[in-house]
Amino acid sequence: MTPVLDKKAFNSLYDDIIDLVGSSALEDALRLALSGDLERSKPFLFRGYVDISNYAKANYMRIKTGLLDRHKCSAAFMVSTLNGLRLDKCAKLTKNERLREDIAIYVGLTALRTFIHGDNENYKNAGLIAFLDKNDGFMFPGTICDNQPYADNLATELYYNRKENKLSVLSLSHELFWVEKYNRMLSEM
Amino acid sequence: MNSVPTEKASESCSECLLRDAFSKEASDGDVTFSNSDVYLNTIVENNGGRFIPSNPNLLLNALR
Repeated sequence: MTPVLDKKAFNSLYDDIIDLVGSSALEDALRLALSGDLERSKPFLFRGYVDISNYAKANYMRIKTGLLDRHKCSAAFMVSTLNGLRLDKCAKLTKNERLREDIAIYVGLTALRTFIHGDNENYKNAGLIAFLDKNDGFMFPGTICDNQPYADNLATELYYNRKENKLSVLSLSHELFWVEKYNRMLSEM
Repeated sequence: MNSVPTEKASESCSECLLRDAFSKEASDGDVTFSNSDVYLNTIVENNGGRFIPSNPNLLLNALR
């Protein structure tokens, strides 16, 4: 087993979501149910992340003992979130069928943004970091056929891919690559 | 997950500094192994033990 992300650091990602839930406009029962589900899911999420990131390192990287690039690492967070969240109590109360997917998108983008901040030697990401700070995260392209936000399409993709057991770290990492590329391009305009 | 052919590291991978960080740590002498998780630990630690939240409004909208 290779060294893994410190469990305390890992859990902080989900603690932030629990804080967001706490400050949300959800009714009390749903807020409590979701916070409880997130808290109970942490061990499954961590276990899943360790397995998926190690699988990605072993199978997708040329240098297997080296570093997993930030897009695959962030994708591993997303897949482990989609598979590991136990939304048992919350599912009985929420009307949002894509809540799991919305949480996974937040997790993936948060991991990616954290990497970009940390990977700023010689200020090479300074423009992108400033752009992300200004927008409180990543921008998505507008859709073409309707006015549905792009994030909804992404959530739909994740929803059906999980349902059909087709989640792929490689596919998600490529999508995250393009999201970063799109934002980098916008930041340079 | 189905097994897929091993691919070469992508361009995006070689662009990022994760590998550079690995080289630097390896050359320090006191660190013999590193990976992205160890590197991410450092980033999170430098940020007061937290990740940098992205698009919290997307999630807050989902929580309405």
